[in-house]
This record gives sequence, structure tokens and C-alpha cells, in this order.
Amino acid sequence: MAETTIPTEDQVVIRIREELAAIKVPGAETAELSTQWSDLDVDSLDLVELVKALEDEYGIQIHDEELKPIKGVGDAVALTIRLTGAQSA
Amino acid sequence: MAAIEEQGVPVAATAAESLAAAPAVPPLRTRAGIFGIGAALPAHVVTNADLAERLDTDDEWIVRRTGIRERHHLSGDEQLAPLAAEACRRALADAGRDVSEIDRIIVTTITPDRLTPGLAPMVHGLLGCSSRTAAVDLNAACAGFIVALDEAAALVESGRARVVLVCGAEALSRVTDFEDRGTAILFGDGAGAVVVSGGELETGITSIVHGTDPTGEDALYSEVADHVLVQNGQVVYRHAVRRMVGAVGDALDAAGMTSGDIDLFVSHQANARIIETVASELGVELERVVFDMDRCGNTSSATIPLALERAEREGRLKPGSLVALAAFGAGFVWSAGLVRWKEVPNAGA
Repeated sequence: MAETTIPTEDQVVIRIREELAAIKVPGAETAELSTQWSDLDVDSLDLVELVKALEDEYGIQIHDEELKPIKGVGDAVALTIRLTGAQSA
Repeated sequence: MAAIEEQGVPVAATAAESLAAAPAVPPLRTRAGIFGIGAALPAHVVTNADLAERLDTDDEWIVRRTGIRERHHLSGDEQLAPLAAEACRRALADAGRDVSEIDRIIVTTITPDRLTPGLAPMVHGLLGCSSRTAAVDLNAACAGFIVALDEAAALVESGRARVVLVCGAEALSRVTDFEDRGTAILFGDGAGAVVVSGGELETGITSIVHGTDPTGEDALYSEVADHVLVQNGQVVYRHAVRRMVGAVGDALDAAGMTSGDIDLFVSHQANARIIETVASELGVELERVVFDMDRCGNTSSATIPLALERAEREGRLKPGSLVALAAFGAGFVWSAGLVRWKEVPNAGA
């Protein structure tokens, strides 16, 4: 069973750095809450892979229509925490 | 059958007698397999550098995001049917079969030369088939080749056909928006064909599974009037990965096999990254994966036979190799299956 405890922002940021590094995004280790995908050259398919990693890690489901609004690390962290919270509530 | 039971005749004995009296029904051990393969590409090559001249893109950007280096396009008023017919001729020669032996031609395409008649009757004419040879088009988008392979196998195994030509033929350059750098780089033209026939085969074409999710219809489509392919790459990517991984898993389960049994994974060639992700999730190392989009781009239902032909030519497909196939396309529709490579002509029924 996937983790149902709500993660902290820092924990999700660390997980995002790990996944971006795994899919070979240059500068992955510099990702912060304020980082936009355009800053890191994260393309649309990188984002799909990142989202899948977050789904697997936190046991959440991110719908197709929620992908486009994720413009950077902060959006991904906020969505992950919101969905994890909704699930454990 | 109900009438027989009413008369009190033992059903088993009657069934056995009817089998003996009907030689058209093949032996139960008849399995369908692939006996020959052929491919054909248009002469005109469009490189990434060619596209960079008119789009805001470059070779490195395209290769990193798609794995595509070049694609072949029909030029001027070139038609697709002759290309498909050439692939079919090569497949027949490879199988050692004559045109006169073909019972049915199934051509999979979303880009026929005319709205109607279909491409298959044109291929029939170019090959010089008998007037008794059926010729039918099949549209299951990028999954078309596996769907047609399944139908050909069913026809052969049921005894309704002895030799079926399955040809994936596409001219996606006809439905490409060359102003859109996101999709203009992706699509190519080409044709690949296989000869499906039967014999007392150990594996043949087996464990083919299919799926459909029509809620994806707006993520990948072309309107009849616009004639341009439109796709939401993110949505297609995530569903393609999920569905192909699931379908290959189902096919392996049905065959009582695991991903360790796969000698070569040949999937639809839309994007190298989709294939890498699917292979990784299946536990198939890249040494067992065929990448052909570098040379052809995405040719929809033609990608799998084109990739199979290349893999055999490069010595990666050997007699007895177990090939796992998978495809995902507009619909959404998807298919997967297993094929033993490649049956020898003399073993045929």
C-alpha cells in the first residue's frame, strides 16, 4: 500500500529532484519550489514521467486535465500535497 | 445441434462423423504463423536538418525528444498503393509463395490513396491476384497491424483461408501539419507486409490481446475535413505507456510466459521515450528492444512490419526468436501479442 501520510514540501521537492535526475534533466539538483520547467528545460514528456513517479511514490492519481497547469516545481508540490491530503482525509 | 439432441443422437459421435466428412476443416493442431516479410520505403528522405530549414527546431532537439533522425515521404503525385504492393511482393518472395495462392489481402491504413475504393483492391490489382482473392482495408490506427495479424491468424486457424497477406501501409505526410513543429517532425510514409499461413506450429502467432478506451478520442485525431493529425502528446504518452505495459503483461500471462522469455520487443514506433519507458516497466533491457523511428519516424500501422524487416536484416531476429509486439493509437485502441520468428515455408499446411 502506498504512503498515505501527507509529505512536507521539502520531501516532495527532494523526490522531484531525484526523478528529474533519473530522467537525465540537466541541473535537476538545483530544483527549488520557485523553479519553472522552462528554467530546467523540462519538456512535456519529462513532466509525464515526473508525474508518474509522484503517483507511484505517494499513491495518488493525477488526471490528464491536471497536467497542463503544472508549470513548475511549486505547482507539482502543491498538487501532490493536496491530492495526498484528500486521499488520507 | 438442438435438433440433434431432440432426436436423442449422441452428440460426440455426430460431431466426430461430421469432422471426418468435412475435409475443409483443418486439423486441430493448425496454427497460424508468419512465413515471410517484406518492406518498402519511398525514395525521398527528409532529414531533421531539412525540417530545421523551415521550422524553429534542430537535429539535437528532435533526436533528444523523439529519437527520430529522418523519415521517408512520398513526393509529388506518388501513390501509396505501389509502395504497399512492393512490400507485399517482397514478403511473398521471402515466404516462397505465389500471388495465385493468396486468399485474402488485408491492408491496414488511415491514409489510403482514395476515400474509396480502399488501398487493398489497388494492391490486389498491382500484384495481379486472382479475382477470387478478397481485398479489404482495416483501420485500427497505429494498432492496425496487430489487429490485422490477429484476424489473418483467425482466418487461417479456422480454415477459412490458407494464405493471407497483411500489409501496413501509410502516407502520414498527407495528414501532417508542416507548420507545427511539435508534430511535423514525427510522421513518415512506408509499408511493410507479412505472409500469414498455417502449419503444425509450436507457437506461431499467439496470445494477441486488444483494448479500447474511447474517452481518449480527442487526444489524438484527424477531422475528415481538415486532414491534419492533432495530438495531445502528454495524454497520449501516459496512456500509451500504461496500456502497452498492461497489454504485453496480459499476452505473456495468457501464454504462460514472462518478460524474460522475450527475445525481441518490437513495438509501434511513435517515440523512443515511450518505448524505453514501456521496456523498462516490463523489465526488458534495451538490448532486446528494436528502435526504428530513427530511420522512418512514426508510420502508424506500418511501423511494426518495417521494424521487423529491419531487425531480421540486421540479424537480430533468428529462427525461434520469441517476439513481443505492442501498439497504441488513436481511439484509444491498443494491442499486443507474441509471435515465434519465423516459420519455414515447407512446414506450411
